[in-house]
This record gives sequence, C-alpha cells and structure tokens, in this order.
Amino acid sequence: MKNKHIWLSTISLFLSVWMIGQTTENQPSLTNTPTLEILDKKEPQTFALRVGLDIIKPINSQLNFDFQGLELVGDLRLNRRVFVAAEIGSEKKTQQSELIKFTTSGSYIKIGVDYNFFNNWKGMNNALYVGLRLARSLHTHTVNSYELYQLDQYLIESTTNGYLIGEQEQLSNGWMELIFGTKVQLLPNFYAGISARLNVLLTNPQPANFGNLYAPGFNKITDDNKFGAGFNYTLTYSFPFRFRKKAN
Amino acid sequence: MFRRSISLLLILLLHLSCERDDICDLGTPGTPRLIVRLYDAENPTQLKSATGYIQEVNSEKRHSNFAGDSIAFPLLLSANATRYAFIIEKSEVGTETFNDTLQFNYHNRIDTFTRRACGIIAEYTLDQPAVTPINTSGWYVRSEILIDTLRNEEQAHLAIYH
Repeated sequence: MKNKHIWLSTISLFLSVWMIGQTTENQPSLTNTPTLEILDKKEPQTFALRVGLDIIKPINSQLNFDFQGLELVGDLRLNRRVFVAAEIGSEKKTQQSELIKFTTSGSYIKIGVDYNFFNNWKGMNNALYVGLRLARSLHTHTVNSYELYQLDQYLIESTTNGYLIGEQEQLSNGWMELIFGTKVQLLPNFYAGISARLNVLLTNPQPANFGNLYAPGFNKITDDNKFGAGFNYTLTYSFPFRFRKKAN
Repeated sequence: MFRRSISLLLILLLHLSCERDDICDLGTPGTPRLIVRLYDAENPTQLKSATGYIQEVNSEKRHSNFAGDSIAFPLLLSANATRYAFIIEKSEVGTETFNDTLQFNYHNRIDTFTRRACGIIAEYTLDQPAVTPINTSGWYVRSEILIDTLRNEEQAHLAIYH
C-alpha cells in the first residue's frame, strides 16, 4: 500500500518535470541566450586519443650515422582547450665535444598538459597551443676516445683505451619544458604538428669523473647554462571516443 | 594581447637558445708539462744556463729553442717513457754541440675530467730514476727529482746537472 503511493508520487514527479520540459521547449525563447552554448552542453563530451611519432628522429637516424632515435608522442583531448600530453623517446648519439668523443644512450619521458588557444570553427580540430612538461631521462655516457687537454701541442696523442675510456655510471636528469606548437588536421583524424621547446634543467647529476654533457630528450648540457632548446615535428593519428551515457 | 605575449615568448625562446660558447679560459691549467731546471754539476746549488733545443726522438720538428736554466716540455702519456734529444751548444766553441738523448720515465697516469670546455687532464708520477741516459756526449751528468708527482706547473719537477 505504502509502496504504491511512493511509486505514484515519483512517477507524477517525473511526468511533471517532463511536461515542464515540453512546455519550455515549445515556448519561444524570450531572452537572447546563445543557443550554441546550450547545444554544446547537451552534446556528450568527445575525447580523443592522438598517437604518433616525431619524424625528425627517424630521418636523422637514416642520414646521420652517429645518431639513432625514436620518439612516440601522444595526447588525450579532455575538452577543446585542454589536452594531457606525453612523449616517450629513446636515443643513442655519438658526438665529439672538444677533445672528447663519447656516446650517450638512454631514454626519456615527458608528461604534461597542452592548452589550445585557437578558436576552431565547428567541426575543425586544429590547435595552436602552449604546453608544459615535466621530463626525466635515464642515460649513460660512454667515452670512446679523447685527447688530453694540453697547452703545449707538441705531442698530440689520442687515448683509446684505459683511463676514462668506457661506460660511465647511469644518470637521470630532470627538466621542465615550455612548449609552443601547432597541430593541423591534414586528413580526417590525421594531424601534423610542430613544436618549439624551451627546456630548463631541474636536476643535473654528474658522473664521478666525467661530465654530464648531453641528455636524451633535453639536448646539449653546457657548463654554466641550465637552459636548452629543442623542437619536434610530429605526425599523429587521432582516435575519437565517447563514454556511453549511463542508462538511468 | 594573448597573441602578443606568445610572440614575446617566441622571441624569448630564440634568445635563450643562443648559448654562450664554451671556451676553455686561457688561464686554465692543462696537463702539466715536465719542468726541468738546469744546475751546475760542479757546484750543485748553482743554476747553470744552457742554449740549444730539444726534440722528441720520433718527432720531425724540434720542440723549442731555449736559452736559460729551465725547460718545460710535454711527455708521451700513452707510454711510460719519452725520449728527448738535447742538442746543446758548447759554450766554449759556439758552433759545436752536445747531442744527448735522455729518456724520461714515469708511471701512474691519472686522468681527471675538468669541465666541458677544457676536457680531460692527466697527472703522473716520475719513476726513480726519472732519467735514463740513452746516449750522451758529455753534457748530462745526473738528475734529481724535486717533485715526483706532476700535478701542476707551479714548480720545477726535475733537476738536471750538467
């Protein structure tokens, strides 16, 4: 008996809400509220997972014998403004720094957010964004050969074994990146992007008897400057998805 | 306004990515040379000058001409010994020269990384005896170690009596 009454009251409540809804919808809008905004709110939120890679590094690996590298990039669209973004990469680079020839190998991860400030037309998904990343590398330097620093250049000889030759201890750099970039839709769900990055070192550990001269993902580390710069050129594919509305 | 701040940011980026060149300051000590002072064999407390030049035996050109009581020269640090020819003018005659070949012996090279711009320098220790005469024409008499470990060029490491 009691249950029946409760049911009746709830159903009538729903019905009345529905009827109010009907009446308001049928009435012409009195105020000039932009209808687009209301439509936007009614649309289910579209997320998009965008994955791809930096194409500079594979090209560089082909052209340059002393470099091997790969960087995977991805971002998750939360709304039209905010994206959660990440880059994961791996590098092996041999270089000559003054008198020392060394190889750095290691990998890195960068996680952060992008804020898109470009106002797209409806249906377009281009981006002009600023971003922030926290990044960390894990790498080792291997000294291949070197010449001793001598003011007297009479007897020049190269050290190729013993002494400091060989792999140094593993290091981990931390840094922050400030990004300015753009992503342009070329084909449906297919994007090209370019970004410039200003890097600021946060932690810079030094190996016991060598210098931390380079960090994968960061770039060259100099003596008295904790800034670095980089860029990437990405090709990405987007997988849009929606969470299904929960049935009441 | 936002656009403007972005372009400002870009300009800032450009500036910050231009880094100061890493240059090793000229005052930075490199791998120390062997510094030899020349003493009078007959009067061991007295410095005695000599005039001539030295040349590493496998090199094609002379290291340096010198005139005075001290010489500084580099050693081959991949080996434990370096031979130098000392071509010294005989003071009495003027045209004739002594030609002594001396071998300098050392061990225990230790390499140290300094900084990016300067790289790696070495220190090493003189053997006892530090000098082995290979062939002499009467100039070299004997030698004495003053400082056995070569860490810098602030003081003479070796005395040669002639």
